[in-house]
Amino acid sequence: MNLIIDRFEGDYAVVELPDRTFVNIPKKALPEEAKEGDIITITVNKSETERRKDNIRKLAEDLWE
Amino acid sequence: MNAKQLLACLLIILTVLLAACGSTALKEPVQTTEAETGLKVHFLDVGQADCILIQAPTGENMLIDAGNNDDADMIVTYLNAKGVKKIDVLVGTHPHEDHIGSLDTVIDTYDIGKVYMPRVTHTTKTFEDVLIAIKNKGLKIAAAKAGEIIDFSPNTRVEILAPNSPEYDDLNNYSAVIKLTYGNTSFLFTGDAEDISENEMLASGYDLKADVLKLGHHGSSTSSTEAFLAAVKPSYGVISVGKGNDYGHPHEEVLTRLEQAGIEIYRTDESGTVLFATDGDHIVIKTEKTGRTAKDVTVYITKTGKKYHMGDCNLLKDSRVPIKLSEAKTRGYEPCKSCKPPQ
Repeated sequence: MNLIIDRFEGDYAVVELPDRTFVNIPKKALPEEAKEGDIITITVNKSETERRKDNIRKLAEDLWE
Repeated sequence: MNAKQLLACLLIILTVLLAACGSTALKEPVQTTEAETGLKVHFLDVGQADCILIQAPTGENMLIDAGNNDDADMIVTYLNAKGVKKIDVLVGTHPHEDHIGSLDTVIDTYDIGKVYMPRVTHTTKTFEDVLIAIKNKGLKIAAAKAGEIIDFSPNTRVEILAPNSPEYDDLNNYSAVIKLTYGNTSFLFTGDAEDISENEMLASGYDLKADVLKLGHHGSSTSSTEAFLAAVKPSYGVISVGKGNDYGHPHEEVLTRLEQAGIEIYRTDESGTVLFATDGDHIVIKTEKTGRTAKDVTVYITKTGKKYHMGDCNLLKDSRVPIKLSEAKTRGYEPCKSCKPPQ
């Protein structure tokens, strides 16, 4: 999904969603170089999700009684 | 009494009458309807956004900004109720959604004269919608830039005071800043212009003095520097702002600056839509919601006196203690007869 940064207000970026509604996203959740007018693409990172699931599963396995 | 004496007598009467007319208090809020036939400036309550309708006594309409995307119905309903058929001058101060959100609907709905926007673009669908609406209607955009005069109505002077530079880092500073003068009264509409643009206006040597200032950027501390407020020296400040907005607008430090400068504040989050009507000398203010604003105007008392005063009263030389009007009255202070503060 593409979000478009309309403006920055204080600690927030105000972004336009595809349906033309607007939401606040904390600035710190965005790359530092993000500017007004930039398009932010949000995707699900499947390989990273699997990798973390594996890591956490391994960590947890030894901890259950 | 001979003819000569009669003439002298008439001359004296005429002089006294003229002097009496001349001493009528200027630019003070009066509880009469005389101003209501003149120029009207409506600050629409569109939440955390801007939308200002200006109606000239000769029937022309100017709209400065058009709220958020979801304000379209409210704006159209309001404009219709005020008899708007044509918008002679339409201004999009800068391309942020809280200023141009419903411009497309306004363009689609009304007969449009001239469109002014600063020469800058944006990537949002909201901005694209505005461009498409302009294109579909066969209109062109006049570039809003400092020094341009807008032809609005025969008895008004409308001048663009900013932007003064061709490029800025932040879209806010591209804001078209507009000074409207009608008779002896004037208004300054600043969009979201920040300190950078304010400093440029100060450096350009424009006459920034205005009776009513629409504060820049919803009362954010990015705008309304002390130097700028001192140059505009408004009696009234209007803050177009949404109740409980996420950005802390208006910022406390700006409210303090306004209070210290003795500027009477009207906020759309508290007052709803605010209407200023003027006959060119007097200003009448009406707010959609009654209460707080009118009661809690800041007035000034002295350490020893029994009267309360306006911030610019000559009788405040020795001491000036700010106090809410309601409290001044509770404590038994009377309105000053010289500066005629609100009662």
